[in-house]
Amino acid sequence: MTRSEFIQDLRNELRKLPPEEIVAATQFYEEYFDDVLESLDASGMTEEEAQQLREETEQKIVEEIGSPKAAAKQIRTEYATRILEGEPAAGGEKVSVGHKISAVWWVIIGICSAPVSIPLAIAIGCAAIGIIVSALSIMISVYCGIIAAAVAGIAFIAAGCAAIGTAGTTAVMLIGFGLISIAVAAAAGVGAFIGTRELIRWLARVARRLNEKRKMKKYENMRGGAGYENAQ
Amino acid sequence: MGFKIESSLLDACALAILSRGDTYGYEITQQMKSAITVSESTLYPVLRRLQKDELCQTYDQPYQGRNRRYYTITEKGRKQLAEYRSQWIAYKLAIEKLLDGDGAKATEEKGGTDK
Repeated sequence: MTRSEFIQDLRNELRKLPPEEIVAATQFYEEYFDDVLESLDASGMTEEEAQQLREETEQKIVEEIGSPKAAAKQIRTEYATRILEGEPAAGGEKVSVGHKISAVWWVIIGICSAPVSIPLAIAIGCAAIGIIVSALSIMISVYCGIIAAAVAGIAFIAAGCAAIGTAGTTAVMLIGFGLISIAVAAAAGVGAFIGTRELIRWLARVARRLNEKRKMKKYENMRGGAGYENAQ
Repeated sequence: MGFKIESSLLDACALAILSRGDTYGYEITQQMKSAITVSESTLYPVLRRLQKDELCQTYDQPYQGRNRRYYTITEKGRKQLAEYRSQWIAYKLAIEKLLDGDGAKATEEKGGTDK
């Protein structure tokens, strides 16, 4: 990668930052190149040799600095930290909410930097919502069934009690039906209750595990992004 | 490998370099690199942060037909540097005590509990 490619890539990686930040960063690196080149000793060289030495040196500097992407990441991290800490912007005025939001965006974009991760995240989110909604619907229908059985049982018993004076055997049969119905409802109710409790516990466990994973990932991302690490 | 250098320590090192006189980006990088392993791309954000925190200022001076940006430490920067220095001494002593002073004892204890 040549010097101009490096500067161009850096500018491109920083394009979402305020213009003054881009100018300051590119100027710094341009100057850095110039200063290294001026430290070279080209005495006794022909113009071609000197030119070649300059080009080789520029290449070496680019290698030393590393990828423009990594350099840009550090600049963005520094910018985002500064804005999030609420330091006054360049003009001295307080940082606006818009600035803060854009800084938050920077952090989010940094986390989901891979272009596939956003649609994938949306798809997984939709699937999770679908599963939760259908599980809820099944639960609600089971509870409706249980309540219906209980109500029917009470109705049978009531009908049986009403008929006890006129038709004894029919009344006994109706009350029997009612008792069976209530017993079934009660058993199913206990089962449904235990099932719901277990389901909620399981969901909570899964959510907690996902959250922990996300936190770990975020932590790693931040460490990678901050990059105040030794080059070795 | 070496130790990871925390950002406030980098700030302190850069301020210390500036406290010895105005200088420019490349020179600061060289001085930093002579003491610690640090990449060029780490240094620019450090200088930018110092500038935004008003711990240092910049001015441009023509040099060989172009502008060179010089960094100069501010009064606030000097105060911050003094603060960093005293913090560093306390920190250094604490770590030294942990690593050297009770070194043998500490490893022994660690060996005892680390089964």
